Amino acid sequence: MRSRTLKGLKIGRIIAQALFFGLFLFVFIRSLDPFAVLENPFLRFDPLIFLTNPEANLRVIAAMAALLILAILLGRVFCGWICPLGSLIEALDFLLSPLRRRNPVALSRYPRRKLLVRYPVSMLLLGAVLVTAFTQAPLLQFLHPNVWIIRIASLTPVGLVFLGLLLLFSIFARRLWCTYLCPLGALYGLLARLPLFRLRISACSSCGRCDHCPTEAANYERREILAHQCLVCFDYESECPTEGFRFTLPEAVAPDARGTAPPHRRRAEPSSCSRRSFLKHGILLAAGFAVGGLLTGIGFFHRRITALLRPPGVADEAHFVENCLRCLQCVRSCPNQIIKITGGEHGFASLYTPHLEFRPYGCDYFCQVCQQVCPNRAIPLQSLEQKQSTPIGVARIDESLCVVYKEKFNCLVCEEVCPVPEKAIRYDVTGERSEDGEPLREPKMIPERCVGCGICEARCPAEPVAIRVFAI
Amino acid sequence: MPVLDPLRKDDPFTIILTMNRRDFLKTAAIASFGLAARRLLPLDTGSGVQVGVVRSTEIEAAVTRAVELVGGIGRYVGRGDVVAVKPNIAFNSPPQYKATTDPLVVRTIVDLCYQAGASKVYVFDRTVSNPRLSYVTSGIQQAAEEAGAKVLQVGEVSSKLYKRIVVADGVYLKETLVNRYILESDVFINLPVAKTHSTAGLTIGMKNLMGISGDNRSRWHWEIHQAISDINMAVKSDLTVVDATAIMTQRGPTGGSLSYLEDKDTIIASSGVAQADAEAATLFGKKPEDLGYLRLAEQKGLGSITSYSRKEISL
Repeated sequence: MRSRTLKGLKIGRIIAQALFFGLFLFVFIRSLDPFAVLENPFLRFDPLIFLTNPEANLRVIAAMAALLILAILLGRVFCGWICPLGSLIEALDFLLSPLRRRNPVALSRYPRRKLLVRYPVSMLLLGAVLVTAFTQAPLLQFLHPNVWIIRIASLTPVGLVFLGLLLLFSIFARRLWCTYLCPLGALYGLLARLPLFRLRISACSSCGRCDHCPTEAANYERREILAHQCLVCFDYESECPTEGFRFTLPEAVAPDARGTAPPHRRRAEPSSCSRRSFLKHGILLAAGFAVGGLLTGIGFFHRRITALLRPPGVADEAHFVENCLRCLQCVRSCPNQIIKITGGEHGFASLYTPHLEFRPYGCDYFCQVCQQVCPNRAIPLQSLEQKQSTPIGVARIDESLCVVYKEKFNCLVCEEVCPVPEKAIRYDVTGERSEDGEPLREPKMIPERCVGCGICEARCPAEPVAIRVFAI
Repeated sequence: MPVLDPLRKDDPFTIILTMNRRDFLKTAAIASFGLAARRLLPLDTGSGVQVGVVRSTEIEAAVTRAVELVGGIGRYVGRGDVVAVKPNIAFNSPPQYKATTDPLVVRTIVDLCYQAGASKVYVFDRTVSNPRLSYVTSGIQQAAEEAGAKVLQVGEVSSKLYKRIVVADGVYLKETLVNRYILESDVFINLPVAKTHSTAGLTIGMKNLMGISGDNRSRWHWEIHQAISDINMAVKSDLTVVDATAIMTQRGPTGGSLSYLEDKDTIIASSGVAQADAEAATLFGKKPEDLGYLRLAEQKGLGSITSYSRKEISL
């Protein structure tokens, strides 16, 4: 390919990255406004996330298939051109390049890394992710790049830790996450191994400029490009003095077309498209299955029974924990800021899932923002009527704390703010009189009407709060 | 700026003692020109009756006529005045449920203020639900902004937005935080909607004033009648316009069903908040003296709740 074409493709790729990153930010920032909620397409249309909740995601199966077909036809285009986390990593790589060049322990100083590029850990992680997706254990949630980018954008503590890790990675190698660790990249990489249109070396003067490849996919000594690592980014290809790159089917490449024989060939290592290499990737995947299975077997994902109040519409706790991506978009978008992050106290299975704490507001009766932003429908998107009739929990009055029972004066704030049209709290006139001479009115729960919205809990003036919502 | 001292509102000396610096300078400037400041006069000496009631399905016309019956907007808003308008935006509830003031009432009042030469009109409430959701869902944000008002988001209670005032002769409230925009504006217009209320009986104009405070208002429910009458003594509404186009007769103040509403097609305007509430209470078939805070209002000097001059018209 002509250098000019390759340069053009590189510029095109950078523009695409900027546009997709812009799209990500636009959707993310828009979704902080309760009246402008958008679904995040990077989470909504994703083949790995699809597996975690196939029923709910069926309507986007076409988009998911398109991404897979893209990878089959052209390789890891998603990683190089679309992935917002990939673009962020690239920006960090660029910013930290002076540090990386001076780093005495940078990855490029270790020749053995090449084996890891060829057989990356990410394949193993992909195996573990796939097997746990079928056993419904939450592992993907902690390895998916599109979830991490949201956690970073949300400025959540764990997101910032991950950002720190990425900064550290950038000092050691370019695209370290994408090359060695990302399971989504590994999935696209596996598809990229199919022998279709790929970037290939058809002529070479052994100048060594291919060493600039960010994922070390190109190997001029072997005249090959590792299809499962190539991000099709055209980062350095225009520098090739022999213009030896071709974007072709495998047969179209005549190795050593210009008679430039490779300087040496070590026979011990197979070429990237050989059966042996395929087999080794298969072994890595299988090892991943084993690891995932083992983790499940030893009860790592075991869900402890929790009494957590989940966002509105969640009826099945087990289903929720399996499908929740822990992206924390709901936490960020909730206009009342009552969705909180669960820590490790309820076991790994509930780690980073959202739960509700009713201060200073309850869950608004007319609000469905969390349902609208949840990219995996872990919080199901309901009609307003359904949402208003699916209980989050049920409120209970503690008569030992309620001032009406304890101090004998009228209050009824809980009844007043109850948003259920029929009111889930009634009051009984007992015949007693309050301090101001009015008849005393004792609040009483009608549990079957209660939706557990917690507005009563948020507004109860007693200290400690005399009405609280409990999980059903 | 509403007079803080409840006793002698027509006594200039008392007023000077209780007013802030801005008002003092302004009053002094006016006085030095030998002009009687309009605001220093008792409001019920102007033209018009104390309470104007208009029955009409045309909200805009009804609001305008009701204000005319109580002296016209020019009696309340002068050229260059800054006006604070406080509708009831307590809940995130669509306007058809009437848990919040009708947006058209708000818009009409803002329009009238600007017609009278107001320099700035602020519209706000301290909501029970999320402020942003309530402002937008109620339709009030859009209506007020279209009329040119500045809609203030009242979220966290900060010292920037609230000022602590002493409630002279307060029985339950000795002092309270009050929104500065009310204290520092020239005119304060109260725009309640009429609803039942389980603790207070009814929530109309006097109860609406709970929304100007930055305190823990849930606590006020423990002595709600004293609290309501105290805050109304501390901060006087210059003009109260009650949206009684459809009144919520049960399950207030949240409602949430059209079956709880009763069409009354009525707008009530009054220079006295207690009289506005007394008039509106009759729409619910209640006597004003049935309501604890109205009885207290009369005792504390907010005027008679049973005999006041009124005029009623139908359009």
